[in-house]
Amino acid sequence: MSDTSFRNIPFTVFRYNPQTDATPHVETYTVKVQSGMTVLDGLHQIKSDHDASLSWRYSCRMGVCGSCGMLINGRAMLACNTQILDVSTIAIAVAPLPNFPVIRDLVPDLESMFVRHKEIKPWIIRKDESESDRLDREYSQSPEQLEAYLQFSYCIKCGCCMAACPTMATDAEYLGPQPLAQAYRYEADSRDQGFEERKPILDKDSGLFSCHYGSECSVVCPKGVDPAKAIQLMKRQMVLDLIGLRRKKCSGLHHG
Amino acid sequence: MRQTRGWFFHVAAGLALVILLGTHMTIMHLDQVTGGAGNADPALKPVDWENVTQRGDSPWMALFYIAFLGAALFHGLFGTRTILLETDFGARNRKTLTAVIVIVGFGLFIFGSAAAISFVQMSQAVVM
Repeated sequence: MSDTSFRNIPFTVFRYNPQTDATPHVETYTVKVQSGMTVLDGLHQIKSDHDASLSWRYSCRMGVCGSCGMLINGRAMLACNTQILDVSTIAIAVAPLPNFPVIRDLVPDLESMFVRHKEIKPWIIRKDESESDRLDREYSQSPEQLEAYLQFSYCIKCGCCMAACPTMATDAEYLGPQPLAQAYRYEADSRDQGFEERKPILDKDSGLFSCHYGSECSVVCPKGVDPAKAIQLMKRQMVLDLIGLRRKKCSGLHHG
Repeated sequence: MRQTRGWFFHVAAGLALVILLGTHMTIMHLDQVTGGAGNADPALKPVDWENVTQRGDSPWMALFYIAFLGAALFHGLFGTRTILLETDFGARNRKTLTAVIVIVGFGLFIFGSAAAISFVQMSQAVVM
């Protein structure tokens, strides 16, 4: 039988409205928590019972859209994917994801991540662009080739890894774990031939080699992606390329 | 390949340091363990005049210390630059910081190399 009893847990919530507040502040609300409630449920309760002006971003409520990433008791998590009682039975502190500007309350501005993600060209690049017009053919890929990049393709761009990254906190120009892991996602894809196009982007100052392998990105990823591993594997590819030992077997076009 | 090349040579310099520093430590500080290996007169201390001038008589010793100096300077200064570039100050002054570190590195390398070459020349004159 599930526990249906309620307990009152204080939620300390970061508040900031740039139109009215000179500086951010925190406010504490008491939330009636029942087993099974997520942090997102708690925020909804605050909005309906205490303060309708509280703002945060959410959409799917099931850990798919990546909208509700926030700092919950000091760790970047998805609010919809995090049960309150799993985090604490005493107190909950909620703040927007660090390493991003704050639009309002718990809403971070993720645009810098999306810009960097686009910068690494997160799509399959082929040397022969005319291939995309040949719709009667397809690229074959073995299960082993799929496995090489599959886990990295689960990224939902929630920004949790970027928020947890210590290098992001000190180097504003750093590309960050999300774009770097996606660069490897395509490098590991047997259909992709875009290494030469991505190389100068990864190799610039504050690029790939600025990662210190803190690995907190992999710890916080709600989808089980391992960006730290992807970054190290991408570093290996770059070094192998430097010394002329990089080899990649690419899939060719086959009749569908 | 800017960052990749820098990282690669940083690691390569680190590995070179393990070998060069290891050799230096073995000759200069572990003589009682090795029985004075690398010293002309094992009965004397590595820093005694005879051993110092005998070592300096070989141009290979100058090359050894120039390589040691280059590896140590590159490894140390590249690492310092990497740390400083992650600070706000470093991020704002990236080019200036790099230029200062390159100038300091080359300056120290030339100074140290000249000292190593002078040492060999002096030792050769003494030994002759």
